[in-house]
Amino acid sequence: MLTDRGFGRGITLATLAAVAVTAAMGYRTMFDVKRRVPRPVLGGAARGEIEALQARLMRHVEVLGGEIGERNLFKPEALENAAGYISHVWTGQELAVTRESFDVRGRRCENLFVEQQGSGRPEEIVLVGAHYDSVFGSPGANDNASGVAILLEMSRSLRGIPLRRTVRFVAFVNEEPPYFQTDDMGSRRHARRARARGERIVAMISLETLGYYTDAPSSQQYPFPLGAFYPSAGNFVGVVGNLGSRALVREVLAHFMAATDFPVEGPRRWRGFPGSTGRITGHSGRRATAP
Amino acid sequence: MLTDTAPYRYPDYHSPSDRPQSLNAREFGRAAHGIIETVRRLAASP
Repeated sequence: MLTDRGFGRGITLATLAAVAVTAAMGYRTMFDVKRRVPRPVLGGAARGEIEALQARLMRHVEVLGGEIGERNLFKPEALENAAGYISHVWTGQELAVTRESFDVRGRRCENLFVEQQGSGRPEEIVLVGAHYDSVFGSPGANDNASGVAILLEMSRSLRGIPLRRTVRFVAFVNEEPPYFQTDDMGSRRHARRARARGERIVAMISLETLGYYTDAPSSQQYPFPLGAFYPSAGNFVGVVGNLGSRALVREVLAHFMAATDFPVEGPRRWRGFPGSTGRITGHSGRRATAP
Repeated sequence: MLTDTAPYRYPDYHSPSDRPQSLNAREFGRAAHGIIETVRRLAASP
């Protein structure tokens, strides 16, 4: 009796395992589709531009993640110096810096932001943000002086270019613990303020740790089970969003792929059941062909 | 969010060795260029 039940359980487990493996394989066949979008070939002018950009980016990283180093409410002077540097760079770009200050346990801290007004739909705001604090015990050169550096160079590069939407560049304070996802997190403060003012933020793009790339095999890890679908070399930019922002994620991915030949990964697409035509239609209406 | 995936890739993540020289300046520059151009297109699109 006991043996029979054990045997029965064994069969059940084997069946479940078989179903799971089949499902996983089927899932892979049906979903593991990377967009096939022609990537641009960057010319000499673009390459020269990138070289100059690289030097300016690394200068920001050296100031924030080197000279200033660890910057957070445990090192309030350094945090203030970092805010001062960001403000100084933006002022140098002839942009008016808004400081959004608040107190955390008697200490003053602040988000800083600048805007470029849109000319077509100025009420629609594309918000680009990067946190400028670093985690306790770390100079935070990659996390997140790299993101701030891109933020500073983006405002500089877009300045004077006519854009339909308003772009707001925000340097956020208090992203790292113990403030992460609390009411003292700078981004939450900004979001509440934006809601209270009835602002229409149509997109929020967070620039988070963007300076490390390697072609070494197995250099990239993933939360389970994504590793089954994505490359093993950590040489790409990841475009990530929650379910509610999936249209934006696709739009960003499409723009990035059209703008640069740099490797990028984002959500994979459904291509239908095995044996179907294998054609999918991208967000932009472009037709992509499955492998 | 645009990211190099941080803890899933970067050996110096949240460590005292997260220094400027740990970055890959060349790739960082190329990625940044693509990101800036991406936002420009996003803000310019109708």
